[in-house]
Amino acid sequence: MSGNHPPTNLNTESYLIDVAPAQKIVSVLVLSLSLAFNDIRNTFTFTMILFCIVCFVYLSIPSIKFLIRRMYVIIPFILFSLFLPFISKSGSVIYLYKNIAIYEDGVFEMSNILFKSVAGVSMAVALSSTTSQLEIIKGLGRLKFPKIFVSILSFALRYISVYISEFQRIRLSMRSRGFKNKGLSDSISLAYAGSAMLIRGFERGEKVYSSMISRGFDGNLFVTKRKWNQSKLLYFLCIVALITNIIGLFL
Amino acid sequence: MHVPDGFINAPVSATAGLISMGSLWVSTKASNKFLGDKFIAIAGMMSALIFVLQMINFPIGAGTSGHLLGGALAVIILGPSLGIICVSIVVIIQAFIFADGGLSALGINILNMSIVTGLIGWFVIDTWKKIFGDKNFSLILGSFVAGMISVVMSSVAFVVEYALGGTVSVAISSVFIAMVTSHFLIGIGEGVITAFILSLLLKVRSDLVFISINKEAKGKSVPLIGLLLFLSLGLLMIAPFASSSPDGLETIAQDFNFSNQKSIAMFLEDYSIPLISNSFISIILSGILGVSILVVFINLYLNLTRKKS
Amino acid sequence: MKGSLSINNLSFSYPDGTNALDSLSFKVVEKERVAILGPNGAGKTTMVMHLNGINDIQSGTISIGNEKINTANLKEIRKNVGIVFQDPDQQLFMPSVYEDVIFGPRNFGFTEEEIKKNSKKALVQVGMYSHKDKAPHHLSLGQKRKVAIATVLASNPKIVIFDEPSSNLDPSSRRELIDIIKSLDATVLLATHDIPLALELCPRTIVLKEGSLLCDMETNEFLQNDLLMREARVELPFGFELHHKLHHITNEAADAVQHKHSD
Repeated sequence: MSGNHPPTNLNTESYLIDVAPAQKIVSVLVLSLSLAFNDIRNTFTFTMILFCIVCFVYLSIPSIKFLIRRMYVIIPFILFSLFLPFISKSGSVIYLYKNIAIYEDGVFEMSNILFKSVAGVSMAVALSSTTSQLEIIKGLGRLKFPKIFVSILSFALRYISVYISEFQRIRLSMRSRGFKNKGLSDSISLAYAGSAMLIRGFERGEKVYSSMISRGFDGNLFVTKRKWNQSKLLYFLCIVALITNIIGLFL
Repeated sequence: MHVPDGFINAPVSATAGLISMGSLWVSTKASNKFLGDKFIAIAGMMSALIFVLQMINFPIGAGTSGHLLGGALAVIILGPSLGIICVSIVVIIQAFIFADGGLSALGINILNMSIVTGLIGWFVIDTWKKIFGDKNFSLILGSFVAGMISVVMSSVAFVVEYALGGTVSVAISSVFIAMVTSHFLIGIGEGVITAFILSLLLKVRSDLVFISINKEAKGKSVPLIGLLLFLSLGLLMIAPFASSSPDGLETIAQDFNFSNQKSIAMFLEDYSIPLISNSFISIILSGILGVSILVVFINLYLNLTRKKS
Repeated sequence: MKGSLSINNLSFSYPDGTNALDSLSFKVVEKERVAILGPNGAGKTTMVMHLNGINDIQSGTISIGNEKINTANLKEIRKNVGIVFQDPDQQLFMPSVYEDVIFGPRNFGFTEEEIKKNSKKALVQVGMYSHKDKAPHHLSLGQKRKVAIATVLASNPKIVIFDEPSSNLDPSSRRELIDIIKSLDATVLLATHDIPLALELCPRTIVLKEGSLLCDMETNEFLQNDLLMREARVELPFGFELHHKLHHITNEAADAVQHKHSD
């Protein structure tokens, strides 16, 4: 996935901003896993879970436009799903127009993919618009994600912007010398820029390590805690989703 | 490509998740052992770097471009355990923070994009080094091969997951041909960029490149796992073409207990294209159709993202 | 541990064989302020990295206070010798300013109370307390430098070493930096190319050249010695010379006038 990521500005109007990131992450996981592993043909289960998801997303995002702008990652999959009614030849046939047929199972598959991928992205967007990147990582830490990964993740986040600006500076100096990314050979020049950055990356890694041991680091990691609210509504939504799943098993 | 929610069913996703967790645990232990306290700082930097390097786009013809995945590059420079960890960190960041790749598919995405590419990339470069020596030129050539094969195998891994637990009933054969052929093109680009990045690194700071530092073969099991993975995925790749008729694909499908099985070949036949008497050719044609669809998707997708920047 | 240091016959060479330091020796007493000048590659940074044990001592000894640096007392040494590196991005690796500042004290075993008190004091001292929850990459270079200083001050070190603290700073940030360093109650070592900074802050100057000591004297004296300055590849900034010589001449003239009057 190339790096044209949307700006990660937080939605300050949502009350979910002050809710514990750990709780939000659990909610996102419970809801997206519930939806992903159910089928639209189990209408009751699917609808209930979808409803919970819509509630969560509604509380988090400032506007629908905000959400749609961030959906471009799944556009190929959405487009692919639109073909499914035509090529998944099973189930009963519905004739749209003269000879053009669509198949029932294909329609269900299309709906499944559409709802699930859109819902999945919406929830991830909801999470990232009410929780700063760092707090998401720390929330993972509170959920017993290994401390070592939390540290590596926070370092990575911290230094991504450093490398992006370095890379941009290199691209700028390349462009000011007349470089345009047209063919494969131009991409190779970018590759050379990449290797220059790799070397700096290593050296920076060593330097950061020197800084860490200069301030007494000896392998022990600490994670700071902050006071967060717990959202009763999110608890409620998760419980509803879980109960629906269980009921769905028996329907 | 990052798999979104809903494409692969629960059992397969969960299994992929378990495999990913296990591999990451093993890699962490190994990296900790050989890097010690420095591990966190270096892993953090390199993950950030790989994230940024994935922004390098290269044209793959027809006005479209692919981007660097970095799995093979990561293991060549950092070694198998650290390389796999860094690319996995990138996938995790993309899933949780940038909404890229469904959370229910995180296990699958980590497996395909970091573990498969890493292990197979490492196996290729390690074997290449043993056969062709460790002179710079040989390593650079080997890195091209490693980069290319790792990407192709990553797509084969996806096809396997799809065959075992795909939730749509498009024929495996079509998915297979579409995925593998398009990733073949992306693989070439990945191989070229990997090779060029490595060439400069070897010239300037070869002391930083894992594969060129003559370390003791610590992880002897690593190339072995890579070998097994390579062989199994490779066999799956060759098998359809080795069998004399496309029925080979159907038998494989049945072995995987995949019931809904309609071929795009039949789709074409229904429209009675006269030249298609041999269904093997029809599969090729359906493959071309699949690739074209994908190229169109990729084009649209990249056009839309380009407008954003 | 006292804030004095003593380097004895320190030598160091890199893995590829190049000599970085060659039998370097000098002493610094408590609360002294010493500038370390010398061309790039003279060994300033290499020497500095020895003072808190990052570089292993290959030959010679270094004593901080009265204790020689060895593998057993590294943590104590690092608590008392704080280094502010040239690149603040290297020094600020935590997600927020506050977490970077408490990183040191936490590792050195301060209590929660002490950590809170020290970090607040350090941030206030550099004027960055209001930014304590900001992420480092949202800060300007001058702000980052100040936070980097705070990360070191929070552990109450007896010796603070600065590596090129004023490079790339705009004049007002530079002035703020000077004020901060002036307010420090510790021994200060200042490795720099910024001659006016050295003159304003440090009465004593050590000059390194090719890994060994070129001279060790009063900053004032060094800057009037054209021969030594040329050897050290140092020159006074444009316009500075005139003022300095004028000051010198004015002093002589004043002395002469005084003598005349006393006759």
